[in-house]
This record gives sequence, structure tokens and C-alpha cells, in this order.
Amino acid sequence: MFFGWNKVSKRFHLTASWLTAFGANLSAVWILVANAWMQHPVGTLFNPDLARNEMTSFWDVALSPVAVNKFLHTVTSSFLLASLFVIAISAWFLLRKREVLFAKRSTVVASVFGVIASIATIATGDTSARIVAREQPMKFAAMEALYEGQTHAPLVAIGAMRTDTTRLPNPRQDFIFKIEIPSALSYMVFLTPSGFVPGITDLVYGNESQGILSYEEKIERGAMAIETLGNMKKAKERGDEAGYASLKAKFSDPVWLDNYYSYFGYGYYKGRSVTELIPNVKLNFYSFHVMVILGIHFLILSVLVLWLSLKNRWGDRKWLLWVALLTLPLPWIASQSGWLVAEMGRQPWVVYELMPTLSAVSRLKPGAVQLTFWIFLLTFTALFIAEIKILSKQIKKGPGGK
Amino acid sequence: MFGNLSHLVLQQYWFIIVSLLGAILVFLFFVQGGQTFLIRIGKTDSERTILVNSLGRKWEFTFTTLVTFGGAFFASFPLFYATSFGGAYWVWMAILFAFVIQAVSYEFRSKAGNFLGKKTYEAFLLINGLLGTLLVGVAVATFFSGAQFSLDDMNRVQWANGARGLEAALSLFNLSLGLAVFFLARVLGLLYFMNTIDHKDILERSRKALLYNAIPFVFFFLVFAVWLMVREGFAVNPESGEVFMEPYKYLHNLLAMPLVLVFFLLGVLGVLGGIILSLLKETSMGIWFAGPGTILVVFSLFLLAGFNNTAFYPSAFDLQSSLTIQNASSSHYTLVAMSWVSLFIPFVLAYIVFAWRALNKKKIDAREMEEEPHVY
Repeated sequence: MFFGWNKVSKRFHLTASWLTAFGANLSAVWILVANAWMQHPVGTLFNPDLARNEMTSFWDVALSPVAVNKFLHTVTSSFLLASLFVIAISAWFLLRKREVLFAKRSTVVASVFGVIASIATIATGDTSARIVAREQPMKFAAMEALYEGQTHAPLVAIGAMRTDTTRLPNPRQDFIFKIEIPSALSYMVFLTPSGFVPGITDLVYGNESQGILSYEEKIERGAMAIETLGNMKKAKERGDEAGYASLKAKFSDPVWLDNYYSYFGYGYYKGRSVTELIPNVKLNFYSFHVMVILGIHFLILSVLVLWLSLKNRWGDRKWLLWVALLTLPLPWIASQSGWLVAEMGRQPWVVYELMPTLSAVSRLKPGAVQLTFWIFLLTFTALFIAEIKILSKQIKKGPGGK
Repeated sequence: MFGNLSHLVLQQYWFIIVSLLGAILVFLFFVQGGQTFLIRIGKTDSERTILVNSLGRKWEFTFTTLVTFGGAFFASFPLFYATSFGGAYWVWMAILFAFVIQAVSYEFRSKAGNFLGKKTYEAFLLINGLLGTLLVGVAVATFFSGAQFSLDDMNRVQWANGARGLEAALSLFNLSLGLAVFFLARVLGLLYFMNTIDHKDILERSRKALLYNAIPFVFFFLVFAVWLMVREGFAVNPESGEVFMEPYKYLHNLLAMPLVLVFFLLGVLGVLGGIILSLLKETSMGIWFAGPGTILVVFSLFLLAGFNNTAFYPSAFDLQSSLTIQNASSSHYTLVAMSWVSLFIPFVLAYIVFAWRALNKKKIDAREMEEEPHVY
């Protein structure tokens, strides 16, 4: 966009700039569709001969509700990030009493965009929570640190967890303190307070009255699916055509797929402790709550900034400018928290319930991965510092470039 | 339209696309080659700025072609991608690292407050030019010499040693291609400078450097090409799918596919013609012979590796784990979906040609570097 100003026509340059913005969003589509498929594998069928899932419907994969919502939540939160960035930098100029008109104009544009983007981010986040509750109940329980399932489940607004909360069963002693909103969690998921939200204990040990299978049962069924695949291969090797065909047929029988294959990944946990299937509850709880609290802060701030800007009173109160400026790094923290929930909350799965992380991981020595990690950490930290310094230099120069 | 094609035809179609992308990538490595001359040819800071900016207008072509090449390979031959990236870990990490430091170097080099200093970013560009070309060349050479992996029945890869792909750089055969690609990139970089920069000293130095880089290029390329023709190759029995070693396999492939032979010879002529023309005459046209020549040669090398019942990603460690375009490809459904998307390629190419011409209408000179609002 900085490029070729003197080389092509203005119209072409503008078109290219818009195409860049459009392309950047488009590239987010496919990467998030891929992520959504791993969270909620749809539109594919397992091919037992090649031991892989093959796409059966492009549109089921591309337009799965998880993918659509994930895309909307990610891009709207990024729009919000951009708005808050402009508001914060403008606040810095206003605090310095520099470029006042420019800063105020930028603030109006950014706050309009910010209000719309924060409402959209919260709305898509809400939908996302409902989808997670339905498709990944364990992640949802971890986000709320809900051990015991219940109707009229309360939502923890703020809370501090005890150090050791992973031991099961461990009822009602998980928090040092918490402030709850009664029945809000049930309402959030089912739009009625009497909805039953399963807790971690229900999901691990099963809950017959709610029709929840125990992990032990899922492990058995998954192991059976793995065994079926093994037997099919053996039948093929020894030339048992009929045996091979009948075992292969199971992998296209919807009832068998639903009852056995859909637990394939659990089979890898045969002989292991069921508690290994529980994600890190504390990390999920705190990340989720940090994200939600920051999201609410962003909405209030954007609305306030817009309101005061329209009355031409934005900038009158110094402390508000400081709040806007100090908000600068928070959208990144909120984004990272969201991704922590998305990726750590789905553990131990790489492909949800089908492929566990322990089987997907490359067979590398831990040292190799550690070395790579440190090299990249070092490089990216250096580049991060450079980026911040270049940005600050440009901002200090101001729009006139003096 | 695509749905009626057989799986094999689609596999061949996608191997051709991937090969073409790989070929275009090697041509675009002129950016990497040029980056290794910043100090040799740019004697003053302003000369270096001219060089960096002439390359800076093109680095994204190379970068996005690399990504598209990888992406198309990933989508059409996922088992190759999974095997190579999960297995030859250190080679790919080194290549990745070489490209991570490239992109930022252009953007940060001349900016105030860039923390590491101009010299560091120029050093990054040198590392990228050296490692990027050499390692990609070495990695591609394993298409003919074999890699060190085995696959189990769940497609999980096991590597034979802890070097994780870096061992490929110890083979003289692989190195001969790696060095040929490296010196070819340098030759193309020089021809590109001669094509696009209007600066007397830079032109003189480029022409001089051309000879000293063309000689090692021709040497290493000849070593590789002759060795390839006489070595045994990884043949596939089309009936049983069994992989076996066949003497003179790649020579046989070349003779069995006359069109590929024509491409190969035309390409070699183009590259040599471009070099010789630029050495003898004061011309800026060398790149337009050597560039397309490069594309033809690399394209035909990829087809030699994958067509005519050959394993394109063979394993010297476990022969029967070798990958062919048939056992490594995506399903029929996926290839059909991808083929529809491939219809956009001509539009993307047209955009690239337009943008390229717009940016190259006028040669770069010292004055433009002072007037242009955006300088790398």
C-alpha cells in the first residue's frame, strides 16, 4: 500500500489496496476453516484403507457453524483491536496536545468502528460459547471450572482458584472466592435457567440420567474401532476377502460410525488414567475470564469515547485519555487469551475425539523442539523490539512526518 | 468438467502445477541470488540502497510463490508434505528460519529505530540468499537420491537418524544440485540487476561478477546432470505398486518422454544463451533468456522425478515407503475441488504481469531513490 504510488494510476492503487485488505481477510477464512475442522470434524469420511479422513463435502467443511462463527469472531475482534489502537495513539497525541484536530477526527472514526466491532465481537463470542457448550462440553466445563453438572448453573463472574484443582472428584472446593451470577450459565447455553450444564465429573465418569457416556466407555468403544481397523488390515494381508470386506463395510455404516468410530481417538487412552483426558482447568478458566472481562471493558470504552467525541468533549478529562492509552496492549492480551482457550481447552485432541495429541505429535527428541523454540523466541523477541521501536519513532514524528 | 477426469489424470494435472510452481520459484530465486551481492557490488550506501530496492520490489513474488508451491504440494500430495515436514525437520526448520528473517529485513532495513541496525538486516538478506537457495536445492535433490524415512500403517513417519534431513547436505550428489541452484540464483540476480538498474558502476561490476559465477554454476550443473543420467533411480511397478531400483532410470525417463527432453534442452540453451549473450554484448535482455530457460529446466527435472512410473519422494531407508504421485495424493473429491480453484491461476498471473511491468517501466537510478516516498 506504500508502494508504487508513482508507478500506477490512483484508481489502480486504490483497487490494489482494497484487494490487499480483502485478501488478508480471505486468508483468515481458510486458516480458520482448517482450525474449525480440527475442533469439530465434519464433511469428511474415514478411509480405512489409507487411514485418513477424506473430504466428502466441501461446503460442509467450509460453512460448518464452528468455522463461520470462528471466522466472524476472529475478524471482528481484529477490527476491534485496530480501533482501540487508533484510539490509544490518538489519546497519546491529545495528552501531548499535539495534532489535536487530527487525533480527534481519527478518534471519531475509530470509535464508531470500535462500537460496531465490540458489539459484533461480543455477539459472536456468545454464539461461540454456545457452540462450545454443545460440541466440546469438556472445554466449556473447564472454561467455567464447573466440576459438578447442574441445572440453574451459575456463571462465575470473577474468582480465584485453588492451586490443586485437577484431582477428581473434588467438589465445591475449587475456589478461594468467587462472585457468581445465579443461573446465568444455564441461561447462556440453553436460553432457559433449567438447562443442565454438565460438569467435568459428569463428563469423565458419565451421567446416566443426562445420557452422558463415561470416558471409560468411550475408551472401550474407541479401542474397538482401532481393533476393527487392525483386523481389517490383517484380513487383507492374509487374503481373506470376505472378512476384509465385512470389516471395511463398518467404516461406511452410519450407526457403527456414530457408536464406535466417533470415539476412535479415545482408544489411544486404553490402559491410561481417564484424568489425562481433562484439559488444564485453571489455564482455561483464567484465560476465558480475562478475555470476557476485557471484552466488556472494550465495549464500555468505545461507547464512552464515541459519546464524548460526538459531544466534542473527548480529551477534556486527562484520566480518560490515560485509560484509553493504557488499553493499547489489552486487545492483544484478549486475543491471546481467546486462542489459549480455543487450543488448550480442546486438549488432549488435535482432531477432536479422533486424533489425540499424543499420537499426532512428530517423533522428535524433546531437545530438538526446545532448541527450535528458543531460536524462534530469541528471533521474534528481537524483531518485536525492532517493530515497537520503528512504530514509536513513526508515531512520535506524527502524521506530518516532522 | 473436472469431476469426469480419472484420479490419475488429476494427480498428473496437480503434479504438473506443482512442478511449474517449483520451476517459477527457482527462477524467482534471482532475488535470493541478488541478496548475496549487496556488499560485492554495492560499494557505497546509496548503491546498496539501489540494489536492495530493485530486489525489494520483487521479493514478495518469490515469497508468495514459495508459499503457493508448498501450499499446492500440501493440498494435492498431503502424504508427501506430512512425511517431509514431520520427518526432515531440521532442513525445513532451517529453510523456514532463512525466510523468516528475509521478509522483515526489507521492511526494517532503512527505517529509523530499527534496533538491530542496517548491517544486521543486510546480513540477514545474505543468510537468506545463501541458505535458502542451497537448502532448497539439496532438498529437491533428495527427489532423485532418496530420503531417510519410513512410514507405518497409520502414515506416521520415522526418520532414520537424528540429523533429520540435514544429512542430505552431506551427499555430494545433493550438494551438486544445491550449489548449482545457489550459483544459478546468483547469475540470475546479476542478470536482473543488468536488466533493471541504470547505474554505470553497478552494471560494470555485475558483468564482471557474471563470469565468475557462471563458471561454477555450469560446473555444478553439469556434475548434477551427468550424475543424474547415469545413476540408478526409484522405479515403480505399475501393476503391483512395488518400488525397485532401476539403472539409468532418469535417462530412461528423459528418453521415454520426448516433450520433457525438448523442454530440458531448450531450457539449457536458454540459460546458457542468456549468460553468453550478456557476457559478450552490452544488453539488458539476458534475464529474458535465462529466466524462462530456468523454468523449463526445473520443470522438466520435476517431471523426471514424478512421471513415467517413478517415485518422486523415494526413501533410500525403506524402499517400499517411497511416495509416488498415486499413493501420496489427495482423494479424487479433493483434487476435483482444487482443480476448480486452479482456474483462477491465469487471473493471478495476469495481475502479476501487469504489476511487474508497471513497476519496471523505468529503470531504477540514484535519483529515484531520493524522490520515491517509499524506500526499503
